[in-house]
Amino acid sequence: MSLSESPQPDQAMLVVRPGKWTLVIVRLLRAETLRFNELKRHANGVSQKMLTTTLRELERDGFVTRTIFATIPPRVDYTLTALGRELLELADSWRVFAARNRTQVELARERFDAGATQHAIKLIQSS
Amino acid sequence: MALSADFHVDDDDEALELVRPGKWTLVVVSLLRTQSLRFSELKRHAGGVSQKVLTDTLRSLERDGFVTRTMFPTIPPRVDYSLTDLGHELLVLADAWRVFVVRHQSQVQQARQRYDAAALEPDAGHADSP
Repeated sequence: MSLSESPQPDQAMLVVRPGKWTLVIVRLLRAETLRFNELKRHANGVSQKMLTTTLRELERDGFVTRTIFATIPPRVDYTLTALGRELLELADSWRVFAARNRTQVELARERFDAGATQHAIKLIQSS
Repeated sequence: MALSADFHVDDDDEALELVRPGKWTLVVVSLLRTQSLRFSELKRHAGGVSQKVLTDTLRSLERDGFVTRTMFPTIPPRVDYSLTDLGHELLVLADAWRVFVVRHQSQVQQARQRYDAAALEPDAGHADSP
């Protein structure tokens, strides 16, 4: 999208949106530069492809810089930019929210999953 | 690898991995700010979301207790989505996100232009292999 087509504030959210791993990755980079493999190890359960996509998006948007060292094997480091540090603040407030509401969310999930099971049983019984 | 002392996975980090936004989470939550909306209305207002991704997003918001889904036995059936109290708390985060994006979107778009321009240069590709 070119700058002249800059969206209205209401649509701004469509321009930059966090993915499932965005905030997790940004928080991992809080204190230091990390390599791809280190990020992969610490971001529980992220796939190689998803991590690559997330990092590329963060780099493209200017939140992360990627530095390649011509060692053998090549080493690739990721660091937060100044803009990335601002994103970190949002990631932190998300974490506070997640920690505060975790129990409620887990209860909601149990109810939802139990409801889905009952629905499936009814469907089986009625067929 | 020596990690600094403040680097550790604690319960709160697990919470972050448990509850986190997908690409459309905050957009959908913002759309539900003032009113209930039907699926087709959400789809229309969330520019460019696919049917499948919107379905997944709404299901995950409902499962997590942020959104309620009400079905009306009309013909055709009508399904309304609205925010719960917990969903309204999520709205606060969505608003913070929007403020952030509005403030920084020109910086982000300039970064994208640089990135895309660099990717087009024949010798300065984004090759991951040596």
